[in-house]
Amino acid sequence: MGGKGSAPSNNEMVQFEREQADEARRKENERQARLTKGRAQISQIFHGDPVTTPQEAKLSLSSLSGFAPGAPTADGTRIIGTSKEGDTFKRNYMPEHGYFAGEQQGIGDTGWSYLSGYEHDDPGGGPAYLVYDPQGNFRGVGANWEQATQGLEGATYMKDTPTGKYTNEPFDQAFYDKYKNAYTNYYTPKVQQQAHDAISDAIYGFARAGLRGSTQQNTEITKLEGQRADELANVGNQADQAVRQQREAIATEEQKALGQLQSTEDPEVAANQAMASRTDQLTAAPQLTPLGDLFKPLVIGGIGAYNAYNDASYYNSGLRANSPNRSSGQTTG
Amino acid sequence: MCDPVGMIGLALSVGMQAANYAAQQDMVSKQNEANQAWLAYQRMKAREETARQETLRRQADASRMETLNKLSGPEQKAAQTDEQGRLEQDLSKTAGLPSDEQLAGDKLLTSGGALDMTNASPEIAQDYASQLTAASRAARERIKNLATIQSYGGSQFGLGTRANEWLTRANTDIGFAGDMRRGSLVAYGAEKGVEPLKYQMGAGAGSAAGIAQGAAGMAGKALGGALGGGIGSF
Repeated sequence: MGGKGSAPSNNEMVQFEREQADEARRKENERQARLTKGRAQISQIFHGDPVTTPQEAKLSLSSLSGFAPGAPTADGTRIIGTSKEGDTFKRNYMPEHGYFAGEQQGIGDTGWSYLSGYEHDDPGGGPAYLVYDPQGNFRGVGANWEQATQGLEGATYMKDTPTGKYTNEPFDQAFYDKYKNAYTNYYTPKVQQQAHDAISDAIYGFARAGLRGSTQQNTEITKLEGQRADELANVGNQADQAVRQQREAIATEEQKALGQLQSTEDPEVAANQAMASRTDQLTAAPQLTPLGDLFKPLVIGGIGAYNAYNDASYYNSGLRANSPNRSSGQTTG
Repeated sequence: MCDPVGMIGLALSVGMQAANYAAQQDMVSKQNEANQAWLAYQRMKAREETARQETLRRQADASRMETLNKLSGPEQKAAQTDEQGRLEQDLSKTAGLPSDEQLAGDKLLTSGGALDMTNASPEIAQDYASQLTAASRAARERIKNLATIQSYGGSQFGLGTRANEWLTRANTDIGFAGDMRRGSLVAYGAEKGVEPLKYQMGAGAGSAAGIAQGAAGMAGKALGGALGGGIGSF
């Protein structure tokens, strides 16, 4: 008598919209996963992929930072903590507890994670605190923080400890020191040779002028020694700045790789770009320039010797000798 | 006398109206349920998105705060002191300045050195040694000043280099988090666009009401005629 009952007029459209929303969220999650993976790959290429070994360590609740274990908010939503290292969360079903729970990945050295709240998908669920150790292993659950962490202070867990080795060698300090040493080893002998030549010339000059062993010689030699120390220090300073430029160049290449990653969202392309940049940096030759003359040659007694020759020549030819005060025996330089 | 046909028609009319009302109530009830479900879905998505945004914001903020701490006065001063010490040691070693000032003169006074003073008079040798020591001390002081100057800016780990490195690192982290947040908001926009189910009356309900109304009208007229005839017969 009353005809057919009411029915939704836009059922198919709503279904389609939900599918599209789910698809958009899934694609965004995949995009973020690609970005995270790509960033990790680039970091491994430029900063090395350390080899770790599990070693026993003790849990320390007092070292927890960045969390605020408190009551759920008024509408019962989830309190999600974030460590100082800014670790991200993902949802994971915990069948042993019968509800969806959050899990924090990549926890810092002594940081913990927890997740409290209840899931709207499970009407029967109540507030729960879940505790994970720094390795991400589930360690406890309870209705409050004290319950969840009961007995965990000082408990042991297996911690991934760096061994000092790398599966992918980084641009470490040894790499930059090698560059710096090559730079100084190239220029230092040249400076030493120039200094030695200048000191030797000065000694010989003073000897020719009859001033060998004089205090004036001492003064000039020590000046040259001081200048040698300054020039060598300058070489060291330039080498340090060259290393700084190399560091900046490598950092720039890393930024380019990261920028390309965000543009393409394809971590494989960015990783290849990073490897190419790394190869370029490893084979880059230092820009070396000629030193030039660092030490001005000392003209000691040269004019005096010349004048003495002239005097003898004029004397021998019967001409008047040069006046005694004509730059004879003066030291220049 | 009452017309049975009229009575039946009246009953039919009332019944039809009741059925129509029931159908409308059913639709209203179902629509309310659909609206509540839609609200619950939207609230859930809003909470999830708020949590995601907050997590990413905290990541970016943590990186920003770490950089600010590294660029604070005490940290910068400590870094400058460390870098000055490193440079002093490094440059002195490159310059060949011995750690003991007295050795500077002794090295060159021995026979076979750059300046052989073995045959010099004691006064000259002493004068040379003291001048060389003074020159070494002056060179070391100049190197110390050079190390101080470079530690403020252009050296490997100088303040300028250090600040640039930390700021670049923070920019990368913040940019990364910002990119994630923007992408998440786009996906949330699709979730917000989901509409609630919209209910409408069933396909036969309108025609049944029309038929009921027509039948009721005919019954009403028949009843009215019967009543009028009956009244007139009195």
